[in-house]
Amino acid sequence: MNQKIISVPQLITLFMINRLVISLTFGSSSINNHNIWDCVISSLLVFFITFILIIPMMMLFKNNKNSDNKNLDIVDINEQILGKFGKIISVIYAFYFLLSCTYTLSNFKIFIESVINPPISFLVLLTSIIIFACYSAAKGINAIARAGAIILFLTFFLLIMIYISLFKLIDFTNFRPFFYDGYSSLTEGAFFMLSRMSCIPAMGMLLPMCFGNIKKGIITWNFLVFFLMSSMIFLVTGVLGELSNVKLFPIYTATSAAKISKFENLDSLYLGLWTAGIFLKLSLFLNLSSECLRKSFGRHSNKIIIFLLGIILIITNMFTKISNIISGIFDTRFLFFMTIFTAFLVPLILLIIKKIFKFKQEPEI
Amino acid sequence: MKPEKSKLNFQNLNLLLIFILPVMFLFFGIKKQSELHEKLMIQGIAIDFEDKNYKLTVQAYDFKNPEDKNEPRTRVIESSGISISEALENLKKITGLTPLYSQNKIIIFSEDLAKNGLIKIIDFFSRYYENRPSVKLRVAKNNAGDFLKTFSDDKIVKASEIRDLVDEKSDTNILDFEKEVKTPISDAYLMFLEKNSQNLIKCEIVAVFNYDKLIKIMDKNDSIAIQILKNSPKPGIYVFDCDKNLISCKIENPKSKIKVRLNSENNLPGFDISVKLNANLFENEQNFKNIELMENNIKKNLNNNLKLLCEKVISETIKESCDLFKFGKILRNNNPKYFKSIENDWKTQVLPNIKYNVNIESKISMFGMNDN
Amino acid sequence: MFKDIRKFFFKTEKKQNTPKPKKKIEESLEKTIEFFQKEFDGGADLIIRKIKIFNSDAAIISVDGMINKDITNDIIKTIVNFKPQISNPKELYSEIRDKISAFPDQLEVFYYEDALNMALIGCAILALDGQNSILVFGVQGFEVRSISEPTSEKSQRGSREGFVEVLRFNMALIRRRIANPKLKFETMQLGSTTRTYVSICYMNDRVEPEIIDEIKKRLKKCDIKSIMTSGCISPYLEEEGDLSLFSSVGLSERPDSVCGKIVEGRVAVLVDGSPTALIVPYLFIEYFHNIDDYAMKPYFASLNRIFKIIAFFIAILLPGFYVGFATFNPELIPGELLNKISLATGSTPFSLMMETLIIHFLYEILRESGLRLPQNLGHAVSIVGGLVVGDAAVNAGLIGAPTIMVVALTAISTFVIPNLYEPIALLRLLFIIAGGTLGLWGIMILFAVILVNLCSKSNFGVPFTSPISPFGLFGMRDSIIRTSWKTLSKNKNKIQNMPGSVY
Repeated sequence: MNQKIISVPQLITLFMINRLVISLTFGSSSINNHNIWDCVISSLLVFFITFILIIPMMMLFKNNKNSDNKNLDIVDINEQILGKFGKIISVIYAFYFLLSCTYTLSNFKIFIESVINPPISFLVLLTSIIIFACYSAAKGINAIARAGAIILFLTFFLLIMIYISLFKLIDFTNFRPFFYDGYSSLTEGAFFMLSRMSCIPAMGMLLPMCFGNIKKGIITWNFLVFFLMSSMIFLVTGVLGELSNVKLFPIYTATSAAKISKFENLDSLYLGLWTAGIFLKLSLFLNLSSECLRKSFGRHSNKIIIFLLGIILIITNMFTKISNIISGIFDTRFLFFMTIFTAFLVPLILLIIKKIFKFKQEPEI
Repeated sequence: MKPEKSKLNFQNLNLLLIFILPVMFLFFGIKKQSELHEKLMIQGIAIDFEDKNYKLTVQAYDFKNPEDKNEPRTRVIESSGISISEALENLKKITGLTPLYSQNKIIIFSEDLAKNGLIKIIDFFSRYYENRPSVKLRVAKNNAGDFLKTFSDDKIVKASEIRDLVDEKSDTNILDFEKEVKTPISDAYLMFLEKNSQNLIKCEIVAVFNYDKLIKIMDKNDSIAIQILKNSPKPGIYVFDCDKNLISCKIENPKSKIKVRLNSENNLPGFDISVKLNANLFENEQNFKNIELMENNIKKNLNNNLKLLCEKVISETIKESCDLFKFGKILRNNNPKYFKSIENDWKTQVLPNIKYNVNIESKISMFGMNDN
Repeated sequence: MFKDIRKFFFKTEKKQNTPKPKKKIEESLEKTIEFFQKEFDGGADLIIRKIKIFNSDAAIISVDGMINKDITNDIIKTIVNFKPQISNPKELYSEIRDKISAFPDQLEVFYYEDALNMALIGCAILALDGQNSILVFGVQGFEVRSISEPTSEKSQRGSREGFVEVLRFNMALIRRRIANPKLKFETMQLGSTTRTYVSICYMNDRVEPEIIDEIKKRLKKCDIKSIMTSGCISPYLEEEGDLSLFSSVGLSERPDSVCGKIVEGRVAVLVDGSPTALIVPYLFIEYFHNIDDYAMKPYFASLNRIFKIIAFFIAILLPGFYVGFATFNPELIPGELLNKISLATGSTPFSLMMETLIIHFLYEILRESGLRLPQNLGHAVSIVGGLVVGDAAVNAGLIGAPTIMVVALTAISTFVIPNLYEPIALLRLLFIIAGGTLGLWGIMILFAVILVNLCSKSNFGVPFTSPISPFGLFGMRDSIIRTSWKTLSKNKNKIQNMPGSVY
């Protein structure tokens, strides 16, 4: 049962940070070595698919107030409609949010180890990120959203600078005709983007807290995601050409070519902001995950759960073997299934039961 | 009696965390990180290949033992190894300083090395984070190491000075080169370093590559033509003969457009290349009473000469299966189906036989005076 | 031992003690005098002057040094010479109370505690035998500092008046600027030992009653024993469990800026004995505001504010970035600059992080020593410090010149926002450590954490970082930039209207 504490623009902010973090690591390795230029069309496709995916979630949260006029989130609805079985579903949601964190961290690890390899201990970096993320998760959604707005502003500011400096380097002959190598990269790209759509399950927790015109907000968010993804792919392909399909993190490689007067290496600054983004994403999902658990087992304080989840995250990422297994999971269709399950199937089922339930109830009244 | 109800004291827990974290950072976070002055700040690297070993000549700043308070010592260090990374690693053993590549300005390859292929070497430089993608690449005549050891007025010629010999936008950096090399249907060129009779370094001609191998070093006029076709903003000064008078023009801002037409007879693609450029008149030995007549005459001659030059350059490069001017990419983008059918034979079979037609349109400015 | 550890991690709820009931004044004068003597326990400054008025025993009780003796004399004279026409001695009291017009400040109290309090703040007390109430005359006459320009908040075009230590004077300074009956003062006594008077001051029609209630609630909960400065109660005005480095309670010595805040719907808390007023709720962006901003053209005022914000970031981040970049990310520093830094560090014995930390410690020591010393000595300290640290250390090759420059630049930037000195000094050290151990990554993570910490703060329902985040265009007209007065005065710019506010 939630108060309306965040506004729609803040919701969009949170989702955009989430997206930026994923976008930066986008590369042909994440779509099984296909051509990333075709993914411009994939992002357009995903733009439309997202609207379909959101429908059950949106319908579910339309007039979802209970008798005390409080807003119900997905955990409450689960429990209301499915009873004890609903608790299991809520735990699945918590698990999904935690997985999302692990995925981000494992990506971060791959990036650091394969590209930068800085002379600092990764373990300390990881531990401090997680500890601090726990801290800010405990501070609540509101704090994360507000901090996110500032980080997002800085990131966009830098992003615009990078865009402008990269725009001069675009070679238009690099844009090959769409689907030159067939349509598989279209589906692979859409598949990648959809399976990372962790924002929609997060809506289950966040929408009830949100005030303002949600419909408008979702449309803006979806459009921004499409714009961000396609513009990034456009720039990267224009600047790097075929190299974009070879490099592990092509967007990073492209930013490293950006240059503003004497300041050449904007990529490091971008990475810095990216780290801040990862931090915020972790805090958000840790918060959501702990909320799910706290609500389903409503005994312990939120902070203890966050603390425990943080320890789980550290352990899973500390040991290379475990995190390899986890990143292995993400490369398979498991994540896609989880995303579709939490974002689309569960809300759809709940919605259908709700409608039938109401249908049965009405004659009695 | 009910036990006293107690809650976790988060304030104190947070305080504990605040104290633990810095301690953790201090004791575990720091891997031994060399200070700035313990680093050998590499300015330029020249690579030769001798006796199955890579021989590296490195120009670097040494801050540990500076010449005076305001000037770091510029050192030239030589090392060798079976691979580039080994040779670079040896630098540390020679100097005791950790090499820092991020300030590197230029990498010079010897002609022989370039002829054998650069892909392995480039791979090292593009893989390692500290190497910035904006480092410029050059091919040097004979021994590359000599260029980093050149003295002028008793002072060593710095790597940054060698880099600045070429306008930045006409230059090729690691990223550009890697981009072309990794694309199977296009090729790159690098600027070529040579020494003049006074032992001074000059850099005005280009070396053309096929894949990663040097195939041809062009002469000065050909280099201008290549740079015109590659749209580099300052191709240089072109001297030509106009009715037995020498005229020199500074060519600027060429804009070339390439159009494809498919010839239905022999199924070979043809390319129409139209170039627009500005030419600043520098020297003119002719005397014209009429400025319009003079302009037309110079224009006609310039266009004609450049057309022939460009066509010559194109024919020379495509003969060597070198797609320097991105014909392949343009064909692919315009006729994807056709190109798909010939993709594998593009460089070997199709490219040497393509038809091309260059059309130059120049705008002459800076007449300066009227000889009336 | 185990108990202590347990105490550290777990907190137990405290019992609340109920206040003692007040004691009614008794009819016997002897008992009254006895009460005062007992309370002061032979204190040297209690003055009890027994007099006879119209055959009736009476006493004037006061505290030495707190009253104006001339006025008290006049009062005694007037009372002694007073010849009322009464039949019953009991009527004497009401005659004195109602008919003598010589004393404008007069109050009747019925409890011993109230009378004692009045005596303690410099009132003269007239106790008559056979009466169960006491008359109090406001004859305060202690030595006070005259009103002068506040040294810590100078202004070019604003008024030259600053608050003084006396609560009543400060209240008058505010009242003089807002001649509106809606301006309300509420006074209470806080501090179980010092019993200091604290006054809440607000515009009735501009503050949400919830905020006022909440302030009163928090002040009443305040279990502090002694209040020597307004800083003592400012933690009680912050939200519970707030560990932030930044304070969401504003401070000001200037009546004009306090009045400006009050008009915007904030509440000022004045503490007797302190020339600094507390302002709640306070926003982060207000640290960068200055009374002079409102006297200038808006363009320049806006530019000024932006510079101050940049100075703030320089002050906290520059040394951290300097250490972090030079140690871990030298590629981010332009080549020429890197050469200079490397040259300078080449000859010094310490690592860059150590060097920066050492200079910072030295700087803080110099600052502290210069601050508390008499002015003449302070100059000497700064000369020695400047010479020793600035010149000799560089010449001797102990410290690099760029490091000195970075620290000096940071120090100067800090002086632009003197109110934020404490958090900046701490954050700077944290950023140096983060930059020196984890490089750019560490700095960014710390930055994000501090951002979350800042953003999580809210006081009296108003987010600390409003109107930047949560963003509100309306609030932005007087935040990072300042629009012209024509725009500012169009709508009421109340603090509760900030985006994200609860009330």
